Amino acid sequence: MAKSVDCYICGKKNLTRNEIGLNKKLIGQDVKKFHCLQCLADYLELSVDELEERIQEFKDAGCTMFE
Amino acid sequence: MIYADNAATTRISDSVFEKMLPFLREQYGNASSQYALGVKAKRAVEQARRQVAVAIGADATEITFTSGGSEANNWVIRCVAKTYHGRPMHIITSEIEHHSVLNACHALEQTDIEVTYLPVNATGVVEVTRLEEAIKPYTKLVSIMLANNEIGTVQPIEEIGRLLKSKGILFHTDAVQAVGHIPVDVSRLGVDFLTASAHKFNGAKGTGILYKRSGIDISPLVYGGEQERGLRAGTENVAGIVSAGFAIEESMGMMADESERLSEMVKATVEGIKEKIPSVRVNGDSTYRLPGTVNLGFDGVSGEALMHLLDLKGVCVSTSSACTSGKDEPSHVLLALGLSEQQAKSAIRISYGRYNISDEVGKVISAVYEVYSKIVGTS
Repeated sequence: MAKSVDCYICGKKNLTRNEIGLNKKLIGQDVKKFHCLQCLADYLELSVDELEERIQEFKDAGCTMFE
Repeated sequence: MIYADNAATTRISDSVFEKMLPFLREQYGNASSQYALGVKAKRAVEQARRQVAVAIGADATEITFTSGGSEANNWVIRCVAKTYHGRPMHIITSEIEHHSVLNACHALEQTDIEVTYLPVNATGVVEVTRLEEAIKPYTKLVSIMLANNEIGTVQPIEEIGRLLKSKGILFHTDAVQAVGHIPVDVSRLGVDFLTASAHKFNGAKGTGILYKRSGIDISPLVYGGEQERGLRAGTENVAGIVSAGFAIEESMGMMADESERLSEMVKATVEGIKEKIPSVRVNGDSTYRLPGTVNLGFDGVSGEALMHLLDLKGVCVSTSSACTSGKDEPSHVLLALGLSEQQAKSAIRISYGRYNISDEVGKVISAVYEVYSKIVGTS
């Protein structure tokens, strides 16, 4: 069973593939501390909508890191 | 939005756009047609050919229009090689060429053609002595780019041209990043082939330029009709070609002032970022470089992440280590400079162009520092 990846700010359990993919895209492939979508938006001073839109753009571009 | 990725493409000039529009609307004739509508289109194509020729010191008969720089590069490399079919053939190029040159050479290697990929020094310059050492009795073509698309380094093409002329070896330079931005004169450079692309100097996408020195014959890459004196079949992209002519003319007129202005903007950007992030590294040559292009390395930080976060902050720059599957590939150009894989993955390219204004420099510096700090603060 795959190890759960949790948000290191709020503790949200089992981050989705999209959340993990976005952390890797926006922080770096080697990111150690993951954020959930809301905490990442807060940290980057962006809205959740902006991040969701970006996830869709990555998917449209063919990136396989997202679900 | 601040667009700082002019090495990728440029916004079409407003006046050039106005010049090309009629050829998409009321003057939509096929340049091969014999009636007035077609003749007018043909005249426009020939005017553009003269404009391009004047800009690079060529004769109009030496200019052929293509669909872009990649087609022109492929044409030269593949069709010169075809000329020597069945005979020993050696091509020299460099490790930092555009993929349209490198992949054309890789394909030729499958057909028993020998290719040498010259290394570059730490600033991305091809050393002429190494090129000379690589020449074999059956070296028929050398292809070295005039200015690199990722780091902006300008190569000693004139010196290479002199060497190759003395040895009777054909010389091609991919000048896609250079034409319209720095002075380019085919006679002074001593090249037999030169390629360029209109959308890199504020023309429209979809029009490339091949200069082929008079007296040199190569077979067509695209067979079909008799367009472009039988060298490049296919209905001419009249509007795009018109854009190429006016865009190059306009760029030549502005070049001296633009070059100085963009150099100042790049200098201020590098200094500003260095002040906030002292560890930043300039990849490439500080002297022999395109005026508006700079490649910066931020060790320990993902260039791709920087690029995406800058995009979210409204600043468009590029990174050459693109990733689509969770595994990012480092830039072949940066690796050729001797950088480690990690260093190569930590770079972004900022390239200013005609529509950037000096006020944007401070905003770019602030945005880079802001996103860099965010990444460093959590990774």
